[in-house]
Amino acid sequence: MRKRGDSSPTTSEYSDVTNQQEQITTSSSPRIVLEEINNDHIIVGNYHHQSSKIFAKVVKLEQLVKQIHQNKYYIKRIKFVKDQSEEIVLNENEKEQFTDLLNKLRRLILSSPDRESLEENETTLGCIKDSLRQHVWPLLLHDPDHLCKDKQTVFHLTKKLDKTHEQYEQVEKDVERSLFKFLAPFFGRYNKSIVYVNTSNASSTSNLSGGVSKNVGSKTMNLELNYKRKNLSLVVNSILQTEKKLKQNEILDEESPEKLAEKVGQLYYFQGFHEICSVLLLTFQDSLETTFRCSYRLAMNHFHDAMHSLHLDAIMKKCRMIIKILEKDGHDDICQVLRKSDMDQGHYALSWILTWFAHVIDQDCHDKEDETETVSTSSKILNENSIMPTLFIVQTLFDVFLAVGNPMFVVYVAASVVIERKEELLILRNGGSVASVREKLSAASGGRTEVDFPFSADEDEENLNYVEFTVVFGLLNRFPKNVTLRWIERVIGRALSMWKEHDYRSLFATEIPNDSFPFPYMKECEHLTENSPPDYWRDEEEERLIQEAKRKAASKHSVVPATTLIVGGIALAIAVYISAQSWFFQSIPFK
Amino acid sequence: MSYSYLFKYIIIGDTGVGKSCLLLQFTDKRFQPVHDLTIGVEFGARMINIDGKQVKLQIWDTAGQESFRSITRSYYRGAAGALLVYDITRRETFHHLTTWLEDARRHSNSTMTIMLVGNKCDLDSRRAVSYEEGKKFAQQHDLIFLETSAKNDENVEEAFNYTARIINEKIEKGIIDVTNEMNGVKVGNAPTATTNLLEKPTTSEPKGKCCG
Repeated sequence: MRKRGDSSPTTSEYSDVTNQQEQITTSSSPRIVLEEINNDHIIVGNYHHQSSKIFAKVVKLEQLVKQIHQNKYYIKRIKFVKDQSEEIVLNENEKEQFTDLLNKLRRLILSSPDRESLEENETTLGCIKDSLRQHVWPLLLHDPDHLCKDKQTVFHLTKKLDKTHEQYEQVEKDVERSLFKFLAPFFGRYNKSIVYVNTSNASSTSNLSGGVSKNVGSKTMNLELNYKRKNLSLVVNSILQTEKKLKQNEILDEESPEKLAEKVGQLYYFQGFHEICSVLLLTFQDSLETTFRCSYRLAMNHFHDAMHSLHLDAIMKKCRMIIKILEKDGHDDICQVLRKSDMDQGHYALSWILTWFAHVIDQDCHDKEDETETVSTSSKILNENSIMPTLFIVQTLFDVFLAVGNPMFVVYVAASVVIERKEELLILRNGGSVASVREKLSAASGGRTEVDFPFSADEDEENLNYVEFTVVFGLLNRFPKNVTLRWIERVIGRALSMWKEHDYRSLFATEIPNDSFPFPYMKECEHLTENSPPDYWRDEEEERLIQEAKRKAASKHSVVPATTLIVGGIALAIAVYISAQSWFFQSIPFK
Repeated sequence: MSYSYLFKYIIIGDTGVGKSCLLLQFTDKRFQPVHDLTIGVEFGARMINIDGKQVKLQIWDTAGQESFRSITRSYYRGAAGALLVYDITRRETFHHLTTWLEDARRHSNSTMTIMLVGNKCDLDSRRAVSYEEGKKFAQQHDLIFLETSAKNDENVEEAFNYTARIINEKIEKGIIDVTNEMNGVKVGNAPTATTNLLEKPTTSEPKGKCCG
């Protein structure tokens, strides 16, 4: 792997493109990339950003995605997938350039400098826009054919669902009550400015402008929900039925179906997987092909342990790892509280790990209070005090999980969430009357924490035991309401530094199976962790500045050790001299 | 308000039968038509009055899907009462009761009181399991039985209160040892032996069958 900062032929190749880009900014879009950005009046699945820092990151990301799309290896791969007859020689050097670009992309996604200049609900972490995610997520999941819309993929054949399949009914039941929490905010006060663009034009109803209708009203919302749920059912069921169809030879592939089926293995659905697929479906705005392929890749890799077993024992194993990370990171006080309350098994984190927090994060929805007000600018809609919709928070987390790429990383984020709530846990440990503890908890969490105590409300004894299963479980299991992007950034930042400091391979050497990356392309993610610079979540410019600052500091400080050495040496000599003298003088009387 | 006892409950049954909705109706007095599914366990609590005694119910609501079974099992122990719920409009949820019951009996303590609940009785037109069938199953397996509607708040109070009353009786008869917390009962500060005769019990006898 080439090291950071090396001037490579690729860089010069791309410099033209980059310069061009800068001149015409984002208003021009290349053949295939990011058409939506042209439409200034449409905010694609996201809110309008006031901060220029955020805009700068968007531009950077766009340019990088463009570079990747123009990479020779990438283009060849697409051609290869598109028409298989053509003989294509894949160049190793080009592949390496491609991998480098991908790693650059990962780092850029994870980088979030300029925290100080941003509002509580702004962030430069992640991909920021849905239009970017639509290109970045498939790239991070190594889905090279995501742009070949005409390709007959597995999905086309699995689309004919087998309604007698043993998992069909369960999925249908879960899909029936899905998506509500993600969509609801867009039918409240957000609805006027935030419009989803349906890139696939697959909407069955003409009066819907893309994913979410501009019209208010529960009738429209129901239409929208029904349409999206039908799509979700298609995606989830197709994934679960792929193996069977392969075995029945209904899917034709150049590889022998039996061999493929063996590779795929039976997938077991768990409640919560549909929520992961919902996030993808909403992000890809009903592009079913992409949603299917990316969800399928997640099922086979990131959620491999949960989906390849009838039981979730592997996930409970991950839950138990949280306390080990906390221990290693020196949070003995937290560990003590967790152990004393029998929480060391990490039951509270089950849904966090199982669904990448998609299940547990549930922000309040605004009511349609200012319906009559004509809101023209979106800045009004998401001001400082407003609540970030659940979907935006979850998408940002998904950006991070995909960029890191390692299925173990979520455990570090879970540990980081627990650390974030340290103050509250210590309030429980310190005890006091019910009323005072309640008050302190509310103050510490900004009113976000609600715990049900197994004590009566008027109990004013001082020696009540709060470090108890129900209380601690109640505190941790119920996620703080209405978290902000700043909160998320803090949690992710901490998780990333713990990820770097406490290598999971040494921390969980006995717990994790040898092959935690079942598929070869995931190996690259592991490779990335191994060989990348220590702070690989910083983007290159940031890295360069930090290195420069370090160098400057080092050159200043290099004088200091020398002087200390000299001063120290003299001091030592004097000390020896004095002690020798005193010994000499002391010894005289004995003579 | 101080309580005399704290009872631990567990709600079990197939996915989508309305376990979480029953809990929400009981603790918050509201019904959510689109209720998020439960992953792992969640819990709620409410104070009730049994024969003049304040009793706090701590109710653990479990995930219904098979995958979570090994995780929810650990919550059976230390429960004084269980609500075993099925959906009267889906026959298969009734068929699975035997498995649930076996599981509950195997992993809980022998003094646990189990109540069979046939939920969604507001959907009488789509009924797939008759009241008599439910009652017969309950008699066969020595369970208490009620049909409820979490949507219309019918018999929800009764289901929780009735179970509490039986647990209370078991305590009075000495069947449940309150000093052992594994039995799902915790003694609080308020008096447990004296019955306040002035205060009328807030609970009425369960109506038996709801929705006529």
